[in-house]
This record gives sequence, structure tokens and C-alpha cells, in this order.
Amino acid sequence: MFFKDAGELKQVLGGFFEKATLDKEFAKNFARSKILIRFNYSEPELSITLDMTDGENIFVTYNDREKKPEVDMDMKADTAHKFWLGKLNLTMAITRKLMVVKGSVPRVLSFIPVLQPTYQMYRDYLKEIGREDLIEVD
Amino acid sequence: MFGYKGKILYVDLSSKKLIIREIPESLYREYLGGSGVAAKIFLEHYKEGLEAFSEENPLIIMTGPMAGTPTPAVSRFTISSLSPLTGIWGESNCGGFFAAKLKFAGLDGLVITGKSEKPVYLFVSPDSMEIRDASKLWGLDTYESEEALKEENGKDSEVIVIGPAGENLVPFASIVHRKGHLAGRTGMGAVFGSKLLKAVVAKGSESVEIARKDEYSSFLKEILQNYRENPLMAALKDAGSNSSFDLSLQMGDLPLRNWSVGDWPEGELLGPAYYKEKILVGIETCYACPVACKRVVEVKGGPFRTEKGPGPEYETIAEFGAMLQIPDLEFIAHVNSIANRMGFDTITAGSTIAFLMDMYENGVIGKDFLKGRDLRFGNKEAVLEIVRDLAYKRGIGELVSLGSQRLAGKVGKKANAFLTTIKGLEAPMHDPRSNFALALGYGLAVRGACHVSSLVFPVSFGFMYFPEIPELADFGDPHSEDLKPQLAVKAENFGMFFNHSAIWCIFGGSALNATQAVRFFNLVTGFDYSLEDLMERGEKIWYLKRGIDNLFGVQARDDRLPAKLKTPLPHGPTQGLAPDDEKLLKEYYKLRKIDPRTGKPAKEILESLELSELTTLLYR
Repeated sequence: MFFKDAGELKQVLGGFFEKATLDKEFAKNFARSKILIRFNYSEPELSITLDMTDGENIFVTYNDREKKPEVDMDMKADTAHKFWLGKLNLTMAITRKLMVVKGSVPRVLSFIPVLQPTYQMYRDYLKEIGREDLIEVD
Repeated sequence: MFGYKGKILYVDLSSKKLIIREIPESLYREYLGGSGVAAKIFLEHYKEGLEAFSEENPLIIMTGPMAGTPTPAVSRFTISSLSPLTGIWGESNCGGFFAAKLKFAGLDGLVITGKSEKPVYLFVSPDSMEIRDASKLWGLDTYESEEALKEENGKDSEVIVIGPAGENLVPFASIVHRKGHLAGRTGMGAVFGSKLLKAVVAKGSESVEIARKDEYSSFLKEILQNYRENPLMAALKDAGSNSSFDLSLQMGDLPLRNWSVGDWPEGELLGPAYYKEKILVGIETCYACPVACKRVVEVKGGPFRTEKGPGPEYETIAEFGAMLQIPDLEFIAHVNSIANRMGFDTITAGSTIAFLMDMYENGVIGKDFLKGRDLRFGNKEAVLEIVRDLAYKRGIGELVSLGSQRLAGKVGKKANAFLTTIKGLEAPMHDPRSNFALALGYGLAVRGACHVSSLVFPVSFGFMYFPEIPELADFGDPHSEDLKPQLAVKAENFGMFFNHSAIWCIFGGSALNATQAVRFFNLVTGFDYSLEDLMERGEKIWYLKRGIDNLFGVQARDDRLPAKLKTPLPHGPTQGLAPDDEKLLKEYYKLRKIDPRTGKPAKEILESLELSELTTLLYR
């Protein structure tokens, strides 16, 4: 496991999403989908909800059971980490149920064109918070 | 016999004789169906000096045992013959509704030899099977021809037909069904044309018998529920074969500018979101397929106005968009419509145009060679002229109608650096530099560079998963040579059963695992095969086809990737990466017991598989 507990996962992945929301241009591009999506991580357990329903901003909440997501995605935290590093074959992850999508898969796939810059952003963020150790993983 | 009809119609167009042959179950038990059976029949017709346009060259149309049953995504047919494009084993398969109708007409397949004196079509039904005059259809495009044939034979008939490209013997002419289902590759349409055979029409309503009906029904119900819940089937239904376009672009899987660059920001304009916004007006499906991945498109106005009809698939978008650097879906929809009407393969056509553009921009050929055209990347006007003219072998279209390899012969040695063919067939739109397994997937594909000749591509790309076959479940890093030869061998063996003999669609069939596929096969046929049994038969079929290629001169040197596909790119997602095909082949040949010089399978392996006829021909 790359993350020892939910606190560390929140700091790393949650922190990355929160930082991304501050980049207005990036957030606007990402939020064009107007989607409300929840990532349910296991090992360690944490859920992160991204609310983009206003079409311009990304609102990040944790273990939020009030908002009703259009898409739920279940995966191990390690799988998510590899994905944001750009080291995961998304098709294979879905086929092999490493990522389980509940809701519209096409809505998830519609994100792909805006994902390209995020892989580098995630690496830069890891360096920024002193977690270079999380970059070179198999 | 269950599943199979037990009958193949043999037609000699020279003598006008039609004979129905009863096929013993033992042949189906060994060669399963589809192109497995076709390869066996082809070898029976083999003789030295056989050429693609020889009267003796058999054109073999075969279904599988599940065609015409409600089994999802498997009512397909294969067309096999000696290819006029490559000069080796040619085959192509196609979905739609024709395979089911051929079974309903009482046949598993057709073997057509000879040459007619005038244009004809073949009509088959349980009541009559005959050669009919097609003089009035000769010269018509595929849309017009199919409409006329349905008018003549009833709306409940199904038609496969060639267009002007096939009639004029363009070596990559296709066979077209329902305007947008194509047996596209290796020029089977030109073999039709060489025999003056315009079309085959099937009609009938004989059912296909299922061996274990009750068990089949409950299993089918379970599987259909799986289809409803499968996320990748949802993606295919939503965006068709182009659903993975954006991923391919990001991963470096999509070849750009004749395989020469790694980045193309405008490529985004060809993805599924733009497809929906710009051209999509509906969806279609094939017989008994719950997926419905076929697109219906229309361009209502502007320079590329296109009437409502079948839309471009991923391969066509990649060829005429990414390869030619034209980020315009309306243009591509228009080109696709012309290609379907004329009846030619958009992979070979697009790649051949890209090959010319690349040579032109690099000063290898000039305007004089291109009949005065300024054939730069992105030149829509010139591309449109080519697409309109190539079926008629006019102007610059005549050059492209030769295909890349023959054109390279006209240009000389300098052309080799720009070629993208293996065994004469242009590589499809998935890049081995992003997925090293494809070096073997393409290099050893029996019909030339191809992503569906085995299951190497769908498995290594990730949309097929067969956990029951260890080599197909764990095959290492995509950018390493490790485990790829083992993957290739098993993906070929299983593929010869799965998408060649049973003829599952690689898209719709990807919802199944190996156990489910084997169970469907057994429930329909009444056989009692294990996965291992079918892998063994798949292995035998693979060696048979490889041996046929050897008979037509294929050697180990023909298994290499062209330089274009293994030169690392300076930028982009695959920057600096390329497979070492020598290393891969060395291990692969050992596993397959193939001589690393001659490329022939060892005599012992052929004998152990009881391919005695092939052994005699290869080792006499």
C-alpha cells in the first residue's frame, strides 16, 4: 500500500484535487462535464466527491453521503494513485474490475481528453509536498 | 448435426455447375468453422503457380456454428482466398445479417471457383440455388446494387456485393453488406471481380438447431444480463469503435502523420464527443448483438454533404484523420461514404496516401510522380480526388489503387523507409511502440500486418480478458519484451478458435471470458470440448495458415516490423520507445518450432498436429 492511512490519502490525493480547483482555467475545462462523481477508495478507506455541477468549478468533499453522485467509482487507493501518475491502462483496469464504475461509463470516458495535463500536474504536486517517493512506483 | 447445417455449396462459375456437398461432422470437429474450415478447403485447392486472379483460386465464404442462433456477437462470416494485394493467405470477416441468412438458406458456406463469361450473382435459398445474370448491375456502386438486388429478391434477402473497385480489380477491394458492414481487408472484393461475380444473395428461414436447448436458454439469459452490466459494452454502445479514440491518442497507440510524430493536439477533434456533436444521427447493430456499436451519420450541408448512412469506424477516422492530418469528421464521413459505395479498404487506401504524402514532403518523389498534385499532409482536396478516382484507376487514384508495396516498387529503395506494410499489408491503427506485444501480433499475423488476426491486440490493449489462460492474463509491462512471445502464441491459438472459426466479433465478443465462449460453443454444437481441446485445434489451424503462407513464399525475414513502426519517436507518449523485434522473434520461433531462417514450422510439429498434406507440400 502506498498510503498508510486515510489521513495520508486525503493529504495526497485530496490535496491534489483541492489544488487543481484553484487553477480556474483547468477547473473550468474539467467542469465542462457538469458531473458529480464520487471515488470510493479502499485500502485505506476514503471517499472523495468532486462536484462540478455548476459547469465552472470543482468542489471537493470527503466521505460525503449527502450529495448523490451521477457516477460512483470504486477502486483501491493504490490503483487511483497509479492512474493519476499515468501508469495505469484504464481499459484494462475497467475490464479486470480494478476500477468498478457504477453509473454512466461514457460520462467517465468523456473526461479523457482533459486528463492529459493532470498526470504531470500530479507528479509536480507530489514533488511540491515532498513525496517524490510516490512517483517511481511499479 | 447441431449448429452446423452440414452443407457447403460448391460453385464453378466456368462450367456453371453447382454441387451441394455434405460435410462430415469430423471435419467440423477438427477445423471448427469459419476460416479454420476455409484454410482446410483452400489447401485442397492449392497448386503451384496459383495466382489470385486464377480461375482455380477458390473464394471461400464460411460461417461458424453459432451464426443464426441468438448467441451474441457471433453471427459473422469469413471470406478467404489467395489475396491479390499480398499474394499470400487472404481473409476478412464481416458482421451484419448475411451469415445468419446463409445458415437460414441451409448452408454453412460457399466455395466458388472458375470465372463467369459475363457478370453474374449467386442466389441461394432452401428452394433454389442458381447463378443469375448481373449485367445490369455491373458498374453500379454497392448501395445501388444492394438496393436493386433486394428489390429483385425481396426485402427479406441479405446481400453481399462488390462495387467498382472490385469490378476494376483494385487489389484492396472490399465486399460490402448493408452499406456499412465490410469484409474490408486483403482484397477479397477483387477476387469477386476477377470471377465476374457481383454479389451473393441469401434468402430463407430454416432455423439453426441448438443441441442443448434448455441449458442454452438459461445460459443465454445469464450472459445477456452480463452484457447489460458490462461497462465496456456501454462505452461501445455509446460511441462505437471510436470510443477509445481519445485514449489511443493519449497512450501513443494512434499513429500520426504516417507513424512519424508523437503529438497532435488537433486530434481531439476526432474523438467521440465531436463525433456525436458533428455527424452522429443514429445507431445500428448486427444479428443478435445487444451491443449496437455501428454508427449512422449524416452531414447536412457544406462541402462534404453526406446522405444519412453508415458512419466511419475508428480505423477509418485514424487513417483519414490522424495519418493524413485532417482533423475534420465531416470530411471523413464523406470519404467513408465514397469508400463504402466504391467498395475498398480504408486502411490500405489511407495508409497508401500517407505513404505518398510522407515521401513527397521528404523529397523522395515530386509532383511529376504525383501527376502534378501537391500531395501534402492535410490536403483535403487532393485526398478527395484520390478517393473518388481510385476505384476507376483514374489520375492520381490509379497510383493509390496499387497499394503501398507495389508503389514502393515503382519508387525504388528510398521508399522502404516510408513503408508501413508487413507481408504486403498496411499496418492498422495501433502502434507497437506503445504496446510491444504488437510487434509479434503484426509480424506473425497470417494475412499480413493485422490487429485482429489473433487476440494479441484486444488482450494487450486491455478490452479482452481471459483469466483462464495464464499467458493472456499476465504479460508484463507494455514497454518490455518480456512474456510477449508467450502471449502471442496463446493469443494466436485461442484466436483461431474465438474470432476466426467461431467468428466472435472482437468488440461484442469481448464481454465473454474463455469459459463462457467454450460453453456457448458446446451447448450449440453438442460437442464436449474443453478449453484445452479448442486451443489445440486453434493451434492446428494457425500452423495450417502459416504453412499456406510458406507455400506462397513467406520466410522469416517477412515477419519483421518495417522501420517506420520501430523507429523511436522524439516526442510524445512513446518518446524513445520501440520494440526489439529480433529479440521477440528469437524466443517466439523457439516456442513455435519455426526455423528462424526459412520461417517454416518444423516437420515434427506439423506431423504431430496431423497436417500431413501440408507437411508433404512444405517438405517434399
